[in-house]
Amino acid sequence: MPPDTALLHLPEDPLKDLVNDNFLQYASYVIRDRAIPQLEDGLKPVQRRILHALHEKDDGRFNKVANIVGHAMQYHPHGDASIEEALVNLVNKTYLIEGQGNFGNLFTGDPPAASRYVECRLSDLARQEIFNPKLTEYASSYDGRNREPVIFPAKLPLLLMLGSEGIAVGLSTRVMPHNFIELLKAQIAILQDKRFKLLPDFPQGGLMDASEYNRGNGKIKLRARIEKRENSRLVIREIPFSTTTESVIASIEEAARKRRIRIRSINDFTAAQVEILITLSPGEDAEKAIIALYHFTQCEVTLHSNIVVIKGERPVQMDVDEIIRFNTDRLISLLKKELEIRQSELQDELHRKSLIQLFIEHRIYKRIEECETYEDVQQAVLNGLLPFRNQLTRDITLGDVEMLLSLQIKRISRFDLKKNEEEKLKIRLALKEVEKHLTRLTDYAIDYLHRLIQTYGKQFKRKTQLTTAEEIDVRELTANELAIAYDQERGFLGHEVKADAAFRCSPLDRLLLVWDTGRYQMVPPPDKLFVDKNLIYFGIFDRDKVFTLVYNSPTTTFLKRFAFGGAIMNRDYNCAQEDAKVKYLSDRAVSEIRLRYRHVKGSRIDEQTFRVADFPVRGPKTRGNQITRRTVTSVTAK
Amino acid sequence: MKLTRINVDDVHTIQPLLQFYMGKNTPQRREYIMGNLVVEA
Repeated sequence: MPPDTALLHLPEDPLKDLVNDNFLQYASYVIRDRAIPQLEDGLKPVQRRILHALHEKDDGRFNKVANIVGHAMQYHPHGDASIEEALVNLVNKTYLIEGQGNFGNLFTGDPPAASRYVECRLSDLARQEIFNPKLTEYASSYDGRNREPVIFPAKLPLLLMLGSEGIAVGLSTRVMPHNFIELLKAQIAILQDKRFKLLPDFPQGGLMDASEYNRGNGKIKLRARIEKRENSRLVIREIPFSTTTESVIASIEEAARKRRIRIRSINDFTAAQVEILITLSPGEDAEKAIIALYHFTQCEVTLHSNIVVIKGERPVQMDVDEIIRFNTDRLISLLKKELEIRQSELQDELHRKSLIQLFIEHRIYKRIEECETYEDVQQAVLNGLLPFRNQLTRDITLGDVEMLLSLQIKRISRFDLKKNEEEKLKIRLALKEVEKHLTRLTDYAIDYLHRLIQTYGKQFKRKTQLTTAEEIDVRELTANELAIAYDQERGFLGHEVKADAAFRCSPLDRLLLVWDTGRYQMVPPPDKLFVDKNLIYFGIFDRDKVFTLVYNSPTTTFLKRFAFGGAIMNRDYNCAQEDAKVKYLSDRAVSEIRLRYRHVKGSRIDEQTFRVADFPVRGPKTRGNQITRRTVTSVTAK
Repeated sequence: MKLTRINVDDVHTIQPLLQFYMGKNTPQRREYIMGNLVVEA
């Protein structure tokens, strides 16, 4: 390729030619075969080769990592250390490879155990959604001894799921990981022509301000989750992506040395969860200390995102929306190809079964007895079948004849016509199903995505919390500040009440108090409030939370489901009728309410069960449904 | 001793040349690489 002299303003000379050629060769190689992920399957070559190696070795059981690394080296002629690092990285992302043993600690940054001590295997997700040899293009490995996949027919939006980071020559890429389920939902939105928005999500959790994310070509601000504890102590419960507890602590110590923040001690109790305990110096204000931590330490980091991928053969800059749209188009085309393959397999099978049936039913095999040469035999079979051409879906080939001639005699003698017909019917039904899917591909893809969400929704929940407004941040920060306790004996409630704490809340939260007469109030978290002994419920006020209530009026028992909705602070309300007595109140999702009645002479039924779902959710002022006039002795819920 | 005359007129181009290829990542260099990427047929 001719060097671009206009750019360089340098005269031609042999040295320049030499440097230029070598430079471009090397740069191209690093960009295309090392550092930059491929758009289609989101993988760098080393990752693809590891997955290929795992797939080849896959028998469902764990393999030693060292063994997989060695196997991957057949395709990736580079250092075992770098392959191992890439593998550990994939394991820690949890989606594609399942690890057994010590794979290091994402939080503390502890290294994994040596590769001879740890094992790994493909996850179910990878096994089912990434590989399909029938749809994979293979190329020769570097030494021509093996075949390796060029790109996996991955149906998942792997690039955005896994994220990626790479420094090539002249350009680099940084793709943030996103939440798997949110990606799938975005794909559904694309297929349904709806709007969507994708923001990063990190295994470390933390708080994130993504207002400048700019669809993957901007920056995000990540913060640690810091909780206040009594005695001027702070606890860091989540750290930002790209930091470790070790680096966070080092940065806090550094800030302390520079007197940016005054602390007495730091202790790291991190194991399965992050827990860094910071004890502030006496007199240091916790609120100010948190601000200082965000300002001067790694408790807040800004990360730049810059998405460069290989599309076709060349690096291009793309944004998150373009990528997920590309993934969705590709998903559709892969699903289509899969269906077409299935269709042709079914058609072949049907053809085969029909041929066998004709061959045996009409005793065509008898015709070959007289034949002298093998060609005659073939011709005889072909001639015998020809009259039945209209019963077949396609022409009879020589291959078909071969197949028939290689049938075992015992299969002919034991041929079960009925069973064969049944099997053919099954294949026809399957074919119809496939054809239906092919005509409604978008719906089929949406179903596919829904299935994935259903299977993996619980497993891959969002971990990083979005905080666009500073205010929400404060609420999060203080979410555990107050420990609310209720001393029933004396009738006091609040965070200064000496009793076992029922729950923790923020000073910005509002509490809901309900008494056994149905009276309720919304109040700010009190320090010590006299609420008397007949309080039956207290919790953080949530206007949309659905409650189930059973109460007695003097003559009748009512059941109702309702949400409290809006309320004015410190004002008395009532969610039952006058002179009522609450028998049962819960904010749990119950399915059944069982009532026991006082036995009266002659009554046959002393117990009754009500399905909660039969009662509509209403407002707090409704009377509810009258369910019995008998005297209720007990209420239980399930 | 036999001396051969060596022409060093071009030497002054070496500095900018190495500066470009071995120096910092500049936007021009990035453009240059993107535009001249070697793609095997």
